[in-house]
Amino acid sequence: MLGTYTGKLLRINLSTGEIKVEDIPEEYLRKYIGGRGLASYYLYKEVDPKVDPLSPENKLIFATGPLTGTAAPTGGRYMVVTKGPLTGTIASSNSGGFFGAELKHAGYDMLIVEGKSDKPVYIYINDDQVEIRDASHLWGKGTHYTTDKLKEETGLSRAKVACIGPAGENLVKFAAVINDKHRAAGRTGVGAVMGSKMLKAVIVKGSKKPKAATDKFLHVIREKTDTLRKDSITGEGLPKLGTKVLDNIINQNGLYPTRNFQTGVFEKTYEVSGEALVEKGYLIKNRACYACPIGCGRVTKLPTGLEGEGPEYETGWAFGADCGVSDLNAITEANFLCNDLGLDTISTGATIACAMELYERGILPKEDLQKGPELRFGNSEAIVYYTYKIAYREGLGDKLAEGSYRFAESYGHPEYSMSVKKQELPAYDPRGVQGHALEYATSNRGGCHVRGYMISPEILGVPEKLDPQSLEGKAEWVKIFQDLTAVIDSEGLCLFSSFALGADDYRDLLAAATGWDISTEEVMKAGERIWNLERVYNLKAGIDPKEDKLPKRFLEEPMPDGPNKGAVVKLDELLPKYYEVRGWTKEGIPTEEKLKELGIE
Amino acid sequence: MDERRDTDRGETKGTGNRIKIEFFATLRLVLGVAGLEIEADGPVTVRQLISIASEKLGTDISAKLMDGDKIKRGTMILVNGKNIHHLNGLDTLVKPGDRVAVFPPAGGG
Repeated sequence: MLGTYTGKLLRINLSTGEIKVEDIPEEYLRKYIGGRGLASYYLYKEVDPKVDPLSPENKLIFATGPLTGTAAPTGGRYMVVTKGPLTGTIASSNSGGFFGAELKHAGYDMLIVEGKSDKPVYIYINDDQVEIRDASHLWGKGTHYTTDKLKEETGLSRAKVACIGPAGENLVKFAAVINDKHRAAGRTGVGAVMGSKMLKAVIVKGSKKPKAATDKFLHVIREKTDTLRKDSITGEGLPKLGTKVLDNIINQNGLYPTRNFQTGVFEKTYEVSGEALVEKGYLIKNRACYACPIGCGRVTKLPTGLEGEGPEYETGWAFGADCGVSDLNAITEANFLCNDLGLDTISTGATIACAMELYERGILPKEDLQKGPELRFGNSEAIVYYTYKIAYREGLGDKLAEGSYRFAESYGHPEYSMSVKKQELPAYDPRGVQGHALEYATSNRGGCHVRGYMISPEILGVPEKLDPQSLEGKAEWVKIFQDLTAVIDSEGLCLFSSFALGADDYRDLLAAATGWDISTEEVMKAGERIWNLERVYNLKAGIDPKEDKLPKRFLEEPMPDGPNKGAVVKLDELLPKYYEVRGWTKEGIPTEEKLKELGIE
Repeated sequence: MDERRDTDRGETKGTGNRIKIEFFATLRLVLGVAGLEIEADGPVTVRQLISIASEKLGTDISAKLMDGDKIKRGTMILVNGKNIHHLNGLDTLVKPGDRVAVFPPAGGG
């Protein structure tokens, strides 16, 4: 009846030690699909939006979607949902690898972690056998060691591990949850929430494969996999060059944020691009996540002998152009360090970039560096050094660990933090893309590019090419992209599948997996419901709609050079239109009628 | 080196009567060259440029970039950093001294 859902959630209270399994009502599944949507609904129902994110009253939810752990193409994704310490908004962070599929195979759509342990623990899940175990011996250790050690001592060599590193333990506001050693639920500080609960890791082994409700499922899977394989982006571009294919594209289009977004063209892009990673011989091979026909992951080895995965586009940019650094060795090393220490690479690199601007402007005094390397743009030693210091909150790292906004604010200049709702912006200067700029301003989890990736139509020309500087129709596009992304995140698929698949495809997969007679309109309505639910949660948390804004730089400082020279973001024209398209008041609040229409109480 | 830096900055044009074409991503890997310069006495259309480049390369790149008479979905051709979709498409005029960047369909995030 439930098809590829297990219909069960595992609830573990770390304060009381209670472990229980609960049924998930089918009505919730149909309304919120799973993954991001379903977990957001449980958070909305169970966690007071005013709660301190790092208190025992907050909950940490690991959620799979109906397609997670199935053979559906890219069906290896899971979400970590909680109230976030960096932004104070709802936090939800997506990751691939193999952990999510394994959790599903163990028999659970979701794992809800409550309370707080008084000593370090890990959660052991082997199908129905679930235990809270001591993790004192792992506290302080990196994610790689933790992963290996847990598999070894449990004897479950094929189990999957999601864990935190020292950054999560030390409550760094942008600490990540790392699974399968190299995959990150990176953004919004979900790792700090895990650390606040003294939960070091979750190790899971499952033996139950989900069974679709209809025989059509395999046929639909074959059809969609074929589409992905034949598509020039998902079948060729991403497998060959990974996400770093974007460095040259975004730079040549003049929106590659350089030196803390002071300009949109980086003069040394050729040194750090995806092409360079191949040409320099650092790339060893590709690695695919569970059930993924794309395989965009990069396995790399540096001339120094260091080996790992990455850098992805965002990471390469955050430690590269954003810090003015063109040393691909140092960039990759900082990336590996983030994976092992459990840090979000975007916020880590962008926070260092912000500190560099403050230092160069004479706002951050030299004595505050506490003998650390100079925070000058281009200093490759600095990116590695301060990444380490952030994870351990040592020296200046303690202040940097609060994120760029709080850091810059502590020096009286929050305007130099390139963030929205206190989360650092990713690798696209909004002055070069008006629709994407609107997406930044309205993202429910703060500055983020994967809540409605408008770069796709505005720069890449998929599904059609839009003029990046035009405002026409952009509010409508952003709404559709945000709603569709909520669907993809909730089904348990990878956002990259959307370069080749559309709303009808996601409906086909969901319908075949669950047996539901469901229309594309109903699926998109679920996406809109999820978006509005997140928005209502944020409003209740005290996030003022006035926070739907961008750093002053993008509104008042015209792009100094390159193809977008002279451009600023026209947010005051875009935002009112967006609120209208969303069916919200002109102040940005969902109306009673809208909430009623969506069935949100 | 200096020349590459200039084009990455998006400021400099090609030199003299030349049009500079750069290839990126899988196109660069397939062609085995990062770019070429074409001499021109006056303006040529992007369409003509593709044909001239194909001749110089000894490989017909039009099939990689065009679908019949249209730009292939996802293909990006920039003239001085501006996508020709928002100029005059394949009929966009390129002048000596301009630079053209060509990307096959690509995505990431």
